[in-house]
Amino acid sequence: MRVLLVEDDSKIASFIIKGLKAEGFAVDHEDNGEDGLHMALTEPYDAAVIDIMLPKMDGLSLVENIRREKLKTPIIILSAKGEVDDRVKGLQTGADDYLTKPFAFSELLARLQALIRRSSDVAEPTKLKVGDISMNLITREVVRAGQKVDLQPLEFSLLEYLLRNAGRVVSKTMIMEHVWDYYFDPQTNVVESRIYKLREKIDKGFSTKMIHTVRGVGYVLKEDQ
Amino acid sequence: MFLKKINNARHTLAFRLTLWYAGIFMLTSCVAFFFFYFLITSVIQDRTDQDLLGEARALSSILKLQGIEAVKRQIIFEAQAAGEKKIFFRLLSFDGQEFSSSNMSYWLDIDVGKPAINQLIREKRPVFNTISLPDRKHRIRILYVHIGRNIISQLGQSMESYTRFIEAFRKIFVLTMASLFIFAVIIGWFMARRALAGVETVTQTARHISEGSLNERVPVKKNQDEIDQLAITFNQMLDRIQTLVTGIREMSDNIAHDLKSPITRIRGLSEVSMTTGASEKDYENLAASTIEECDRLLDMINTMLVISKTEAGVNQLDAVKMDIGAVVRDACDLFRAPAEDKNIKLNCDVAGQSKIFGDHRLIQRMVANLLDNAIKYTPADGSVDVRVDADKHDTVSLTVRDTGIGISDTDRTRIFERFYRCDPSRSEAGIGLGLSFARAIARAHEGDITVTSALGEGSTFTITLPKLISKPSSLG
Repeated sequence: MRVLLVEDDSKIASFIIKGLKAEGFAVDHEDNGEDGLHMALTEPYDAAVIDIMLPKMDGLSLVENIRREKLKTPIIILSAKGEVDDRVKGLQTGADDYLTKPFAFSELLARLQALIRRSSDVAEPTKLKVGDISMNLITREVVRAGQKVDLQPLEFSLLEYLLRNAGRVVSKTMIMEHVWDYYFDPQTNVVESRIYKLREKIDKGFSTKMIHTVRGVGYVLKEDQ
Repeated sequence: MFLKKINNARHTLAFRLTLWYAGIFMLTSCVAFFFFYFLITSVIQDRTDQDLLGEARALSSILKLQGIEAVKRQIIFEAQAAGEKKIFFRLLSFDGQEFSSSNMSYWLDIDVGKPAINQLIREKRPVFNTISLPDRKHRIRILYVHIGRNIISQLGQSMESYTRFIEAFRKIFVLTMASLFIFAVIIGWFMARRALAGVETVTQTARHISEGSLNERVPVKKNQDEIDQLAITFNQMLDRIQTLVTGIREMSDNIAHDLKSPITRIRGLSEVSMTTGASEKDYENLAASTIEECDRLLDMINTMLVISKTEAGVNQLDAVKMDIGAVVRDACDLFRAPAEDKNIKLNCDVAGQSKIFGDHRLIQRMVANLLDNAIKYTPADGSVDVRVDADKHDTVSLTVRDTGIGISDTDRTRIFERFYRCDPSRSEAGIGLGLSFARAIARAHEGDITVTSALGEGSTFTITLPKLISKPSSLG
């Protein structure tokens, strides 16, 4: 997977590059809009991450120019402003997603992968399987090592999200937003409690734990320790 | 210095008003003067004409009674009597040939006007002419008239009184206009200043305020005039600004305080890790703590932004038709897990749909804030009751009752302020924004939030929002 990053803040760029490379992406970085456009038009990319405030050509114009050339590369826009207006403008110019700074890297990664998956036209799976956990999305049955597990609807959607992002850390915020459609972080441990209950049903009694806590960052579902 | 002052004054409203006033005053005076001038001059000319006609009539009757020789004598006497430099007579035959005259030594430059003679013969009416010659001081009024068969008389009279009048008039005009102008400027300036004095007071107050004291107010004279209206509006605006500024000041103090704690923790932990030769495990711990603290800070900043935008009205609501009942049911589901952790009974009494017009995310957040608070401040084995009541005609109410620690009377008035936290809540995690957020959102939706509480027994928060009337009213 090859990603174009157009971002003028070198510190932000370096952590994005570092993080994406660790996830197996090839990353090309440009620090201004004109060079970014040149690269976008000459090289084939699976996705692009573009900052709005850029020297020489701003991010929105860059996206416009890319779309004018009929390139369908999925694009995520980064912005320091969280205004609804900016979001709408960004999506209207042809960007596919929008992320407000500061953002969690895991959030960027998840969105990037979702966009690439969507654009590569892979058929929606009807079954998710990680290790000895399998989930049937149609019958809504969850089985771990041959044993049927009964889950409440909220727990089911939480496990589904973890399975879809297996191996990747998802933050509390991401769970709130993508699983329950809540756009903030309550003070009480809403997510922690759910994870705890889910663990009780999934991991209890098994020698290999599947749901792991990454302190400060979030949770990850994976097979190995 | 003085010139500069004048130059500054040139741009003032008072200056321009004065100028307008003086200008209009002068214009009307001029019009009056010229009207007067034309009236007087025509009266004077008329009198001269009557004099000349009178002379002509006298000559005519002398001619009739005593013959032409008597007329010839008469004109010489008449000219001598009136003054030979003031009047002259010529007697002309019907073709304009002079055959007799008074002493003409002074009047040699006055000819017989052929066109006037022709006009007289044609129209058979006395013809008047005014001649003004460059080397003569006064204008001359001339009359051509038949005094008998084939005898025409040319009478000329110097218009001395006319000239004298014009001269006097000019003098009076210049003098009067000059004094009128000065008078108009003074009166105009005075009136403009007087009218604008109130504005000046407002300006002075505004200047003082921009120098720092928001407590000052413009004095109101109770005249109910425009200036008073301005002063009242200005004062109202100041009241609002003062409240806002005080609010901002208090808030930034609070923000500074609440930002300090997490930053102190980050800094402290980092410093300790750096100086004590920490293990990899310690650094992992440091990174994790930093992320947690940053997320907390970020959440606080974002919440504050939403509150201030919602309160300032900048944030236009992304309002849609929505069912607040469904939002509350979802929130109850979501908070059931943390409630069970504390063994709190969460009762959700929400039946059917309760339609409102609102911003889905904000309403969701408002509801969650209330539940969050209720669960946080209710001790183990307590209960939280959530109710949505849409029975009232035009409002939907959401009630969240807990069996928590309760709120004292003094705190109750302040809990909706930003960053205000009652003493018992200091020990709980949180940033003291939840309730002010809830109130900002309720008010942005034209609703409100109220609280009743008994210390040690629990609190009840009630949010009322305008109900969406499903049937559009049949407006004609």
